[in-house]
Amino acid sequence: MANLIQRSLPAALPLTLALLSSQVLASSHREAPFIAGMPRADATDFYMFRSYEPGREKFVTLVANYLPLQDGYGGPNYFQLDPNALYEIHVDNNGDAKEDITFQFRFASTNNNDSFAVGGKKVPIPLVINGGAINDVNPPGLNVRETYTVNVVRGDRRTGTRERVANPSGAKVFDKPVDNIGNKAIPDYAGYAARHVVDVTLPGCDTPARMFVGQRKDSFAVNLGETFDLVNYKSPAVEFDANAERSARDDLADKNVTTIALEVAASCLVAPGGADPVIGGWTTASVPQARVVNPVPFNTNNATKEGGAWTQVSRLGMPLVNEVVIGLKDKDRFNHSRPSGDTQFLTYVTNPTLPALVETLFSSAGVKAPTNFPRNDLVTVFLTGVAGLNQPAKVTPSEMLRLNTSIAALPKGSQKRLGVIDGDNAGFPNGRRPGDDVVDIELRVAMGKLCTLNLGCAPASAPSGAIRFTDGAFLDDSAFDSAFPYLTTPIPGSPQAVASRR
Amino acid sequence: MKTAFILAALLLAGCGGGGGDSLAGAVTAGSSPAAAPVTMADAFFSSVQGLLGGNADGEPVAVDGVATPAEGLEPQPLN
Repeated sequence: MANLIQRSLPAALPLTLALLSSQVLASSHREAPFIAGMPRADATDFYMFRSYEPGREKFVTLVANYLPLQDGYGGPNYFQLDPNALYEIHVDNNGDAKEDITFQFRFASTNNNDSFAVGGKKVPIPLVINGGAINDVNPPGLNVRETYTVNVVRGDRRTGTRERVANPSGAKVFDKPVDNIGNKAIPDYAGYAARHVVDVTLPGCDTPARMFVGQRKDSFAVNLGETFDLVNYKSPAVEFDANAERSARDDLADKNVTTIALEVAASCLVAPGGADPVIGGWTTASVPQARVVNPVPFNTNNATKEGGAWTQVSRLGMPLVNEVVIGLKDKDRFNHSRPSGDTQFLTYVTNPTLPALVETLFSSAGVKAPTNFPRNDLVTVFLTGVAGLNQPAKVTPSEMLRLNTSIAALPKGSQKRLGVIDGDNAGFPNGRRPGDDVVDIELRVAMGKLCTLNLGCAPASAPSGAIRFTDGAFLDDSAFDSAFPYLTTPIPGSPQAVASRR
Repeated sequence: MKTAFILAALLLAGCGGGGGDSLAGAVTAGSSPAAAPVTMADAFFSSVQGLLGGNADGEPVAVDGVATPAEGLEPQPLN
């Protein structure tokens, strides 16, 4: 059947296929034209879930990943975050589509300017490490030290009250571990990185939080190469191949990413009084509006002069929205937008193009897109939350990840990779856990899975709603740790796992 | 916004031409003359300078009306 589908693709469709394949299924990695040129400010994935580490049941974990497609061997500079950018995680706890709490992260890198004595002269070395030990916070082996500070803003992200986050000792500057350069430079990377998990005091919150920023193995999974190759899937659905969900390679399996992770008491995220347990979350990155390139830099961090108003260039709440929902011409606009203005994008949700494209591609196999317009089932999932599950008591339709913090987490090993559509209400779209396979979930929801459950539409409106579509790159909770920050140790840049070809 | 970054990156509409290590300074007799210097009053450069000094917590301003940057000029040193 799969071969039949492939052979039957109309010859006139390559452009359509290319459009589909170039936009879909990379979570939010390089998803819009402008941000593709600014990887350090490019949000790739956002997670928000009840902590499932034993003993942390009262906490919510928020994870924002940035800087896509990192190869472990990407030296000599590896992957520092942008010292000129503002990275933020926003929480709306009253359903008005405006942030009530914002966590702001700013980064700085300091070049120690380590030198070697060469022929009687001290000459600066060309590396971010100097050969010394790298085994603890701010170790002697770093030539470049990357640090960060965190603010909590209550109210509007720019005009609200802003206070600095500190650790229990009062320190307000935190270290980010250098990337996983390799086993010789950093013999125990997991241990080294773990020493950068810090307890912090959040102003206005009695319960201490935890925080980690650093490189991790990319947590997303996708069959990216075959997607770009005109959706060259061998098995696009379980109905065509019983092993379809595991039939392809995760092309991000050898990639790393940079993670900003916070674990905050749920009671500190919901609105005062706790009457509504639902919160919405999203991450953004902003850069100064003006940038002038320095023709003669005289040190690191001096190649540009930047200033002016923070100007948002990346936005990510629900996964895949800017890839498979927003039209190409509006992708940059979406990244620069706020949830409170999302009515401008409503047509992309009520009349989505993705299901129509899937129908076109697989029409010979009898695949039909849902016929219920406007697609209120998608409005529910992406813009309001599902009533009785994760819809705020009062909600302004807007795109963000919504979590009902009163629904208990399931431990690793018990989570369903398809979340709510497989009966696991602690999973996507009630928040998002690392092991939720959002590609498969959203493919199925887009094709009408919710109609088969009588959620916002009737089964008759979705003839293909029961087909278990998949990209073939399998993901579940077994790929992650059972404790904060859940995302796993990044792939080292050295030694090589496989010998080079001669 | 997008324009601002492109402009800023391309901009460098400074005076140029006067620096001893500039390309303009390396032009030999008989070569095409270097591009004419642009003063600090260049509309594009002034616009970007105005943005650089803006309040970080203010709202970004529209840049659609910013003048088109001049080309063929040498970048200006930054202090």
